[in-house]
Amino acid sequence: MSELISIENLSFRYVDTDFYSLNNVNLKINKGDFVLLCGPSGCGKTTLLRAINGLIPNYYQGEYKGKVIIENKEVSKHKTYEIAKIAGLVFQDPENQLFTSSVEKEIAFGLENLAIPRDEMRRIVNETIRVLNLENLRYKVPAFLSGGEQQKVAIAAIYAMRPKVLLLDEPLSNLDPYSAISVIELIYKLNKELGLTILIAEHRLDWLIPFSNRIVIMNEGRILIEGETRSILEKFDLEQFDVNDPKIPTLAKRINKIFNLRIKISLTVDEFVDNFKKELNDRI
Amino acid sequence: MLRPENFIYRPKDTVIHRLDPRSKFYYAFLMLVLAILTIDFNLLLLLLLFTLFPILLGKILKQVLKAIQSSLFFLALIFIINFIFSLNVILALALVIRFLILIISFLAFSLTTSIDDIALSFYKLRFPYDFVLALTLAYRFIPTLFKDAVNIVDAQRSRGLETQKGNLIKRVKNFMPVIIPLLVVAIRRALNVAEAMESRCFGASKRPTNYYELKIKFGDILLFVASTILFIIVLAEILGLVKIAIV
Repeated sequence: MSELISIENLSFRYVDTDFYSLNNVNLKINKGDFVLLCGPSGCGKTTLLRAINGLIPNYYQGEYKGKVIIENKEVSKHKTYEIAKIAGLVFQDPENQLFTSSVEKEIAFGLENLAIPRDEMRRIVNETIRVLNLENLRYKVPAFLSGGEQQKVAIAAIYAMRPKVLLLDEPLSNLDPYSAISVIELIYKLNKELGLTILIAEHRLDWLIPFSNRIVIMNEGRILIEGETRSILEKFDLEQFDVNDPKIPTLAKRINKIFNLRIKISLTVDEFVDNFKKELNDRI
Repeated sequence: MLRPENFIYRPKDTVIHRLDPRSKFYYAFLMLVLAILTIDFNLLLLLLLFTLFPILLGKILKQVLKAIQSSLFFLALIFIINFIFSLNVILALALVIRFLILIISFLAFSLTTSIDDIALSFYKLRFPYDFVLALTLAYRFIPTLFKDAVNIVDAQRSRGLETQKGNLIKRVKNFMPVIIPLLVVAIRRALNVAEAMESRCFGASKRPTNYYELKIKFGDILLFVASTILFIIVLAEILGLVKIAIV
């Protein structure tokens, strides 16, 4: 797999603060990755996403060291919109990222800014609505949709610009569990079927680990550990990094410990049951 | 009680909703000029009758009636004051009708025209994109800020804030614990919105393209011609050039 984002020795301190929100961060993200970014609040997740998206250092001023390279472009040397076209950022509060009075207009907003001709724009909007199954929302007013629907529209509006990476900053924290799951399904579809690289900052590991192939854990502006989802969960108890342990992998580990079994690391209930059966069959 | 939802555009598919905002505004503006120029009771009644067409065609009668209901106080005030000063029932009624024409003709515009279309008209008239977008955003965030305000009032009340007691000055003073957090929330929202706009490539082009299109259609020409003819006839009547036979 080829490399899409490369972060080298990145440090950033916001104006008027006396600590580094990012402290010598190194990270490489490949095309097609689904990366789960976690860590306690204030650990630098949001800052890292902003730095990839170009909001840092263009919109947020501060002390900037190191390099972020995305698709051979050095982020700090380009305008925000040049980078935002490649790496779109979806925010926590959906209401603040919807500006227009109909869903189709909302999806077209980014394309309008990029001065894409109307016919082409209509084609892209239609395709986006079709692919993401938003036909029933098309003419509705974004401000009056439910939280889950709003977040889907916000994601669609970014996807319409056909970025290479979708960055999501705690997109599920304002949502009820039911809508959160439908939003996750949408994100997964973008990753699996449409080949979008995903980088998502989120606390709710339980929901996301089955879809992610990599985990990055941060604290105090540094990356503590980083690697393939299963191997990270196998090797570490995430509690030690101030991150909630996801339940299913932890369950397997506890059972293994108590009954001296060797159930393989599992990310979903079904997988756990299968692995549990296998282990029992092997033993008997 | 002033209820904002009675003054807010709701999408509907009618002849009036489909008209170009410029022709609707032209119509509303001519009605305004005529209503101000004349004080003749019969003529005003005739104009009032004309204002009803777009309301009925646009299926917004209910909203208009509610809006009139919330301005009943002003209408009564206009009637009473004018009656006291002139002791002329007809004149007082004429002034009430004048006010009604103003309300109804502008509601016919604002209730059937989406803010996007209004903004697009400004854009077509070569207003800068930033200005047009600011207009849309201001309108877009009215319900959101309203919701924030309600939340803050509730939160402060649950901490013991009295908003209904005391004289006017005391009440205004009591609202300070609402105003300040609301201001902070609004500023924070504005910063988030700006950030989200950056992320949607705002500023990439000086003259962005538009998803929607404004087109002068047959209906617009019809409305344009009809309101111009009406304007000329009524103006002629006001100036005493012609006499329209009204009962």
